Amino acid sequence: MKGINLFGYQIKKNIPLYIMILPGLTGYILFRFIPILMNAVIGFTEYNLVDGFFGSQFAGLKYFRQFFQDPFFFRILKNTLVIGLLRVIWSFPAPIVLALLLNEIRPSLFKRVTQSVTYLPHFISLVVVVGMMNMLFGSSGIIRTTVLALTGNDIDFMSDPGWFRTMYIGSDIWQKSGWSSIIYLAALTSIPQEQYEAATVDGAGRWKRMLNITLPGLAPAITVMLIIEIGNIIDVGFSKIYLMYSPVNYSVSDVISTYVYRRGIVGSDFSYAGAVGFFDSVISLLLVTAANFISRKTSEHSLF
Amino acid sequence: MKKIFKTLSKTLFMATVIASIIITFAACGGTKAAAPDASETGRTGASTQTTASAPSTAAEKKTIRILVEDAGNSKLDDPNLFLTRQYAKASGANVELVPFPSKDFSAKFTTGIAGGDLPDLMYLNDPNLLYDYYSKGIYLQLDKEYDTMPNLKKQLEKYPSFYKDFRMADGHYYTFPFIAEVSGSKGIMISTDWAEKAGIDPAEVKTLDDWTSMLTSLKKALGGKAPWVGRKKINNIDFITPLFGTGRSFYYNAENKKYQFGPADENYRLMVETLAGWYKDGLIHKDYFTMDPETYEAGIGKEEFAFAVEALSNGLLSSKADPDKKPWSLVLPPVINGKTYYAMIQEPNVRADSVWTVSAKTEALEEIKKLADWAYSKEGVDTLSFGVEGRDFVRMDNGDPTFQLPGMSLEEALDRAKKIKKDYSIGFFRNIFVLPATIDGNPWANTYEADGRKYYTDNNAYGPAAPGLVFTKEELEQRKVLETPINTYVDEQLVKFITGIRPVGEYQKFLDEVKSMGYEDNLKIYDEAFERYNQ
Repeated sequence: MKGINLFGYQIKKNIPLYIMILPGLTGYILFRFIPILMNAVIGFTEYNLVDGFFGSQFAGLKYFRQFFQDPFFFRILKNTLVIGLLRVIWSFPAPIVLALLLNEIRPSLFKRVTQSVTYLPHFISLVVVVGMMNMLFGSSGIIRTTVLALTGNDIDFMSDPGWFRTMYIGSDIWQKSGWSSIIYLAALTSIPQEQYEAATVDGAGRWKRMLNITLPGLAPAITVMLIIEIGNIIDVGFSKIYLMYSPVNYSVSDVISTYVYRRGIVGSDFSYAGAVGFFDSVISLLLVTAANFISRKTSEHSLF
Repeated sequence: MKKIFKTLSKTLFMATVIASIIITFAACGGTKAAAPDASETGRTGASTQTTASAPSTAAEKKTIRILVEDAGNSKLDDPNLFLTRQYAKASGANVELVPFPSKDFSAKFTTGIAGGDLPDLMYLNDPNLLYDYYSKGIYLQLDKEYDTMPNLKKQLEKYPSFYKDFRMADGHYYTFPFIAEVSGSKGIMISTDWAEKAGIDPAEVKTLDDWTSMLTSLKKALGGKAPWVGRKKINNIDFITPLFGTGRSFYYNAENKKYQFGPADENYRLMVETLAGWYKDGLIHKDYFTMDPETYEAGIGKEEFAFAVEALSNGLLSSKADPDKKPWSLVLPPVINGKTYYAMIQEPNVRADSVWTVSAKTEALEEIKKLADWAYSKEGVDTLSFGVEGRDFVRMDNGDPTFQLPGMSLEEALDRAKKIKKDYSIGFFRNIFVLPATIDGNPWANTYEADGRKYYTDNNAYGPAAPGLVFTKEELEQRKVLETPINTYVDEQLVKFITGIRPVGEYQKFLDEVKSMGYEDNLKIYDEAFERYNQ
């Protein structure tokens, strides 16, 4: 009872904050939690649209078994995790580095132009991005032909399995770093200027200031973003891989979402897709929880 | 002040909570009613919903909502659309078009099913939408209706395969057919200019050895560049398997009259060995399985390449880009072990990937039947393909329609035809009931494709269409489990063999691998469905 009273008091005390969180929370309930629950229901039933949720027969673990017993299960899981991990290793730090670099530039036209230019790729659709990659790295692309002319090596950047991950991650960094750096630039503004001034008086150079003031100041934002990113490891985007992959590089490019899509072509296999979607959600939840736990144990920061 | 803020905050909080709950419920229930509404589905919001009334008293009339596919190449958002007006006139009802965009047609459709509010008459571009839902009572059984539709009946007498191909597993019919009087037109094409330079007579290219010599000569003429390219990436193989009398995966072998698994055929193995050899010798472009369509078309247009097995229209690309260049010449399929196979496998005239169905909930069946029967009549076919006689098209001496009015140049006629087709939303593959041969045969445009098709038909180089199998729910499910990994593996290994990543010497091992993945079990499913088909 006391707990309820305290909860009520907390709500009363922070009404404006709760109001602010409400639209986001509603969005999450509508577009995250409800779909996860639906996936769970669909994955465990012989779901069809006519009979609906409550009319479809219970199928138990049938579709989960089908997924786990698929000859390509381990390959697509491995590919998904590798791409997800590479994203954490390479794509995740890129906006932090960019934010740190931008932070070192004095406010000027150059800084504003640089920021705008780095944000722009975020607004280009994936189809156009992959089209641009084809134009640059494809059969008659300028980069491929230049590499051939300079080295004598004709590298098929767009299809060679050895290059697939590099192209995927490289273009990911190019497209997303600028936009993702905004959150770190915002976090940087909260670091008190006095700390920099005091450090400068103490003789700290730029490098020392960055290491000892800027980075620790960014740590909470980095931790939160890292935990979220780890939660997304298994959720590698379908569209870009679909646009980039081919049987030539299936060995490294075929991921859970593309494989499920190909299976879906034969028929509207909602239950199978639901089971895989639920599996993705469970893995993501485990990853987020584990990352949060490790972060809480090893640093002062955590998401929850 | 503090009190006012507190009261205000409380009120605002409560209002937001209530609003959120309402939004949540509204959104959850939204799929029920909103999905098939045209205002949500078209390209430009509410304006995509086009309606038309028949000339007489509108008040007593029923309204037919017609689900059409929006491929983006017509003007389905025109409120006074010719197509809609013709449908209204023929049915005697008000007509409302409900366009679903091609790219997410199935998703929109299934959402519509969930909402239980599908239009009265529906064009489906995916056979699975028929197979998956006919047994659920979504579509009206049409068996008895055919007898009261004389024009349809006449068409079905011409294409009796419909009765076998479209009988569902429950023994009933749920569709009005889409009839394409001609199949697609694919061919084996060689650049006429490069052939002349390389001293090749396309008519004399007959055996596989001739093909090797032809490709080698072309490579030499091109200064060492690979002559053979393709636009369809891995799907290029679909154009090559008919040449060898085999199939990419599970396919119908017209010669044996049975379903087979391509990779298990001797000829498939021969195809792999041959292509691997040609690839190794640089006769096939190194990016054959990955080339993007733009590079392909630009290359063909500039004749940087010299050979393709492709849609016949591609044989005009270079001459369109440069009038001095000649349309590409045609080559016949190679003789393999004393036998000539096919330049392509024909698609059936009655196509499973395009059908019309009627909602089980419709209250305007009679009007729909009137519309459909008119669409199968000579007048309907001409109107929905060419427009109004005398105004939009005239007839040639042989009676075929043409957009080329007297005194008009071919170029002007082509532009005019394109405009009419787009403005009226007619003459496209989608949303009509019959695609007449004259449209695809281009009597008003060019004779290249029509001549090409005739050349292959005269030489028996177009293979017969596969029968349309109907699978049961259980069979479909088994196929999903087995075929996805098998097809994935086959495509992957095929590319590896041809590009030399995996030695062709391991072919038997590969066959054992796909056997262990269950291709024989999957073939049994086809056999059973085929047996039912033959009964």
